[in-house]
Amino acid sequence: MVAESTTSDVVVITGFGVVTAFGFGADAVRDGVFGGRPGFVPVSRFDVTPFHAKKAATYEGGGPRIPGVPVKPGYTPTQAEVLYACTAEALRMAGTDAAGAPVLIGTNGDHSASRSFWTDQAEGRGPEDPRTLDSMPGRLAETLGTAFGLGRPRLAFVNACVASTNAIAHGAALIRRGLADTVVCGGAYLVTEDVFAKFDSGKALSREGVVRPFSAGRAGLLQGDGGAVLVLESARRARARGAEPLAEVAGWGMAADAYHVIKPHPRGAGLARAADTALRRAGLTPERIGYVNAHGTGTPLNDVAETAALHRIFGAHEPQVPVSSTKSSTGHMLEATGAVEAVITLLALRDGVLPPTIGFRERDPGCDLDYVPGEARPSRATHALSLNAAFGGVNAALVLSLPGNSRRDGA
Amino acid sequence: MTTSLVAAGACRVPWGPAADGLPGAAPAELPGLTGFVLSRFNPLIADVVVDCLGEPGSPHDLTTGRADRTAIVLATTYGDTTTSDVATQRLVAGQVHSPLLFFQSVTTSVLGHLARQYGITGPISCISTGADPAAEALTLADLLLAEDDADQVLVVGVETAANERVDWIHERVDEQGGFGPLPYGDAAVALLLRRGGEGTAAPKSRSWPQYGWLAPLVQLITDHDLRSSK
Repeated sequence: MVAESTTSDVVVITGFGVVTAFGFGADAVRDGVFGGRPGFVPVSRFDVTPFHAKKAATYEGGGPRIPGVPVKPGYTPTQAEVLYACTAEALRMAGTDAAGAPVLIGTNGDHSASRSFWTDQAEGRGPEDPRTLDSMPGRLAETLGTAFGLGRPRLAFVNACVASTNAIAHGAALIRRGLADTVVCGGAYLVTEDVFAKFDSGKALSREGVVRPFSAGRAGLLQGDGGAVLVLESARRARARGAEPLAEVAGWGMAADAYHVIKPHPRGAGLARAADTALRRAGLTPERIGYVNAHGTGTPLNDVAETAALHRIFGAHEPQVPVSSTKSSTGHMLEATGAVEAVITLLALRDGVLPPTIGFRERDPGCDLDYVPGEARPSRATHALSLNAAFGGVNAALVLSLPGNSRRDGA
Repeated sequence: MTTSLVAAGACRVPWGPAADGLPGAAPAELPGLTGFVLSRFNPLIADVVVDCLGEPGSPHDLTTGRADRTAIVLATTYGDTTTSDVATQRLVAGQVHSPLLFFQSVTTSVLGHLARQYGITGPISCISTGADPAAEALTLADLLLAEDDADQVLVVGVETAANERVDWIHERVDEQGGFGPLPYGDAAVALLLRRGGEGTAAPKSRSWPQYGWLAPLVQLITDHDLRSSK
């Protein structure tokens, strides 16, 4: 069990590494996501002939190269490769080796070799692809920790689309309670045939090759490659070693809908509760939030439910809150989505620019907020909310703040 | 930081000779769970949770009056391998996926089903690790209590019988050390933790090797003389 602790420290982000379909690093995100470009291309890493959907936001070698990841036709980068590249960059940026830090990764395992494993089995060959080992989610956290000399625990969070948000929240809680002073956390998902097929069978994927969150006539989500790793530290430790905090993880919250196995609560009850918890923890009132990075999957049910949740959260303030879904650029990165979107939210705060919702055509009566359609927008936001939701009505929220703006800075 | 106490618990292994004498041996085949097909992963979770918490809405329902302050932590090493691998095998065979496999392959789906049954609206976390998942689940639960995210936490540990992929992986990761033993077959444990008490460390159980890494959680049930079977 967790040891007794009375500390309550501020949690800061001092480094990050990020991968999207646009390539490696923050500049790739600025170019693609903030530049309002959709990352969707015809899938070439596996045969999509049997499927209804044909596109995903896969990394094809454009933009800044991902260190250690070969670019060749049909090659699916592994989650281990992406997590390694992101961790190396995050530690470099933070200026720490994070020795002894817990490793918390949102992943459901790397299933890029699952087909070859079962093909080998079916044809009587001994499976040999070492990537099969990483289909065990916890092993990805374990090997990442070993590769960088990090500490324990080494956990994979497997709660679907809130997994890496949960990893960040848990890391922040460990620091806040004085149980760790540094945590390495994040998530990864690379589009694989296995998972693509499941989503396709569930008719969740857009057949029009674009994602149009919050727009009338939206037709579903598309998947995307993504990975991000963040270095979280106690503000005290960062200060002591002269590190520059990039942002504070000021609040976090999780809540369930208790409504349906797959459908979100139609009035966004759980998502609103998760955000309320995150705001309360941050010591902020809703009107202090200057930007919301929405879950915004582009499915008919999610976007209306999320809009309803935002009405519950912001009440009379809601018309002024800019909300965008960057999945319209990156695609849905499943277990990685919370970590990548935390990085996007951090960049929005630091750069003073809000990323747009692209693909937005016309207003849906059930989606009546300011979705930053089409183009990025200048902003002076100092606090932002990032929201994620998963099957089973599982919801998560993070509040990120620019350093020096949280309630606790003066404490 | 607070410490927690074990308020209730249940464990479950399948019926039959292999389970004779074990705590939690099911008297008969587990009932199915509507909407969840092929795999015993989800019915196993549902069965052990209902045994731990009591039938939803019944006088014995331990979430009554606390459902909005109840959290869930699920720990598993491999997750629902049956669903995951049947889906892949169908892909290899050129068959189209069943839409049912789409949602049931996600661990949060069955927890969403249970959350609806009990009205649970607290945080839901699911973790996977090869190194002592039982202790990590208890630590996570304790942190939720300490951070006042919940007044009680339902901890669920679950594993289904290893298939060829799991055997292949486990042979290799086991050689590298540091990964705990898997149960001999399907197994699940549910514990309800509440704030207060003297704290409940995961014991280093040498009993019940059939439960693999879940054995320390079973030990907590037997140590506290909690319910271990229907």
